[in-house]
Amino acid sequence: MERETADILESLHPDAFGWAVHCCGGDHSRAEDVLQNAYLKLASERATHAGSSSFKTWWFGVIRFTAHEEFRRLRYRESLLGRLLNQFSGDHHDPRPSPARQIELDEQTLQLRAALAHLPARQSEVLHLVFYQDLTLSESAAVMKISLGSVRQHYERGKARLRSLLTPESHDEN
Amino acid sequence: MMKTEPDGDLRTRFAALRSVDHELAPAWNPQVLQVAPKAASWSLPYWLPITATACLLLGFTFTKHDSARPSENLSAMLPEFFATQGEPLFASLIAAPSTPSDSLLPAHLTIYLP
Repeated sequence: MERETADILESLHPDAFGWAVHCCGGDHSRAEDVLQNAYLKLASERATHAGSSSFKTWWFGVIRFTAHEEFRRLRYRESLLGRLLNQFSGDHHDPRPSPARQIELDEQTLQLRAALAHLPARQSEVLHLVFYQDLTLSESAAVMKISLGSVRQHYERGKARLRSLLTPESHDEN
Repeated sequence: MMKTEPDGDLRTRFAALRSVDHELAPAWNPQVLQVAPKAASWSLPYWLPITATACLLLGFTFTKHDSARPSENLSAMLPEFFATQGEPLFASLIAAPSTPSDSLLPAHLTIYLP
């Protein structure tokens, strides 16, 4: 792999991890697996940057796709047959963050993550890409592989819904 | 007049989340880009456990069916259909002139052999 690509990946690594955490619904350990698999795809040239979009949007698209693959695998493992096999293989996964990590997540962060989990997936994704990753709406559309019009709609609806979830009044009602 | 940034409230919250995630992010390891991918990305084929389970179920079903069979000699348990009987199967005109149902027949139909 080229040195230049490795340097870009290194600079993007913390944000890529944050994006992987979001794609895995806040599960840090699964996000680490997803990111590792995405790096392996890159190393084995199963994913190559064609240059039609910026490296960051392309890379985030790869991570998103890898997380979806991981989700499908997880759903299979949680099926009846998968659970039966896990009984024999002894492969158990605890989705909760470790106690040390739970302490580090303050109340507001947890509240935001919980509110994002209540939003439809696309609304939540576009809000993360815009506010957390500082991408434009068109860049977010490239990552999510949907049209700019759809992204704009998800963005506006998502913002309104997130605000209503974060305000104390709506929190008290729930 | 001070200009406020649009969506500043959401940006602040996301920035806090971002800093927490950055603290928790695993350290960058350049070796992940050089490891052999095939061994790490191997996963169990989806059809394999399904086929294995189906074979196990079939095997279990047939084993159970076999164990339900009586272990003793079958011919010893069945009634004797073709065993030799003490009397001849068909009435003989010579040896047995009368039968138990003869009394029910009218007298003129009853055959008496000399």
